[in-house]
Amino acid sequence: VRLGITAPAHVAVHRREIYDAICRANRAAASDPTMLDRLAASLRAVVLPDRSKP
Amino acid sequence: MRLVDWRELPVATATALLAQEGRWWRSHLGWNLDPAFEDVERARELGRLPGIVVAAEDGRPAAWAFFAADGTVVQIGAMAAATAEAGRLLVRTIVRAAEDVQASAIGALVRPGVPGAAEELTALGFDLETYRYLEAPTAAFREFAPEIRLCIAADLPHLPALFACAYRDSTETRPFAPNGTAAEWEAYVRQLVHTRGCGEFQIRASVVAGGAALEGAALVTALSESTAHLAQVAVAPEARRRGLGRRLVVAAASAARARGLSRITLFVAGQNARAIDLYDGLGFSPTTSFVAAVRRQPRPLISVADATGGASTFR
Repeated sequence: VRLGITAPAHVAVHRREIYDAICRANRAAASDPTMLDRLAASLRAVVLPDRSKP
Repeated sequence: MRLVDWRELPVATATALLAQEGRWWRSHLGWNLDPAFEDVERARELGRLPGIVVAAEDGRPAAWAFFAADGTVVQIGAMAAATAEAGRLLVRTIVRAAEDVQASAIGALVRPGVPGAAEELTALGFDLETYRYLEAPTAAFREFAPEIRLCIAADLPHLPALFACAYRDSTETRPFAPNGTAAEWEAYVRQLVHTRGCGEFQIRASVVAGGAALEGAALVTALSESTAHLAQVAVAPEARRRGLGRRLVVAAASAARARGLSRITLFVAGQNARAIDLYDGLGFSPTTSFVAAVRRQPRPLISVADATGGASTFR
């Protein structure tokens, strides 16, 4: 059976400036309510309270 | 201990954690996960792959994991821990995040040497199954039965249906396709064919039997320059008890040998006695074992059917 690590699909990025542009675009477009985004949001909620500690 | 969103880790720190994990897989199992971890690091930097780091008092990572959502199933992608306390906190945190987004199931594969993880998953109500990791040299495999052919791209869309019917009556706990839906089997095939978390898919060492509606398949990936991996073997229920599974395994191992891969490995569920006997008879020997854990959600916590005349509560 297929067991191993669960990796994301390979995305070939050859030029650093294109890669950087994708990063910026992704940070800007955080409005898609997909499962992953909701997961990410809840993850932030889990992590945030801890930041208030010294 | 402190929780940190792993997407905020400096590149150097994340790269070091992934390199350390890669060394474990290479030295213990002969897997080269460098290409997979490159994809992981890229997705992390792009903010597409959530993960958690448990930091010790001195700020150094004591445990970490990343996780992904395929449809509504949350899969813990990889996990490492230095102490049981950190491992348990890590698992609790991920499960809480998955509960918050109402995932339909949570799956994890715990490799040997992750203290606390299996204990915490058990405490949280997960079903656990041991998967044995087997290996064999490919030198002895030199048969390719006439009913079997090499897999071609046109076969790939038919694999989810084959796997769905092959696993319909199985009772083993599986962290993949936990609910057995068509979408989950499609995601499973996508993971196998298009990602590198279980080696690089080798279509020319993978074999199938049957026409468009496949009777069986044995899919092979390459884990390193020398190691092939039998990532999935499946036989449709109506094609069973004819030795097709055995012939598929032999043909796949023969094709892997012909492509210069000298060793072949696979995972088999501890309770799948029939498959274990088959692999034992073909000369496979056990190396180590992993623990797979699954919890389907929402799970009934308390049944109040009797008290309410039919209604039940779900957490």
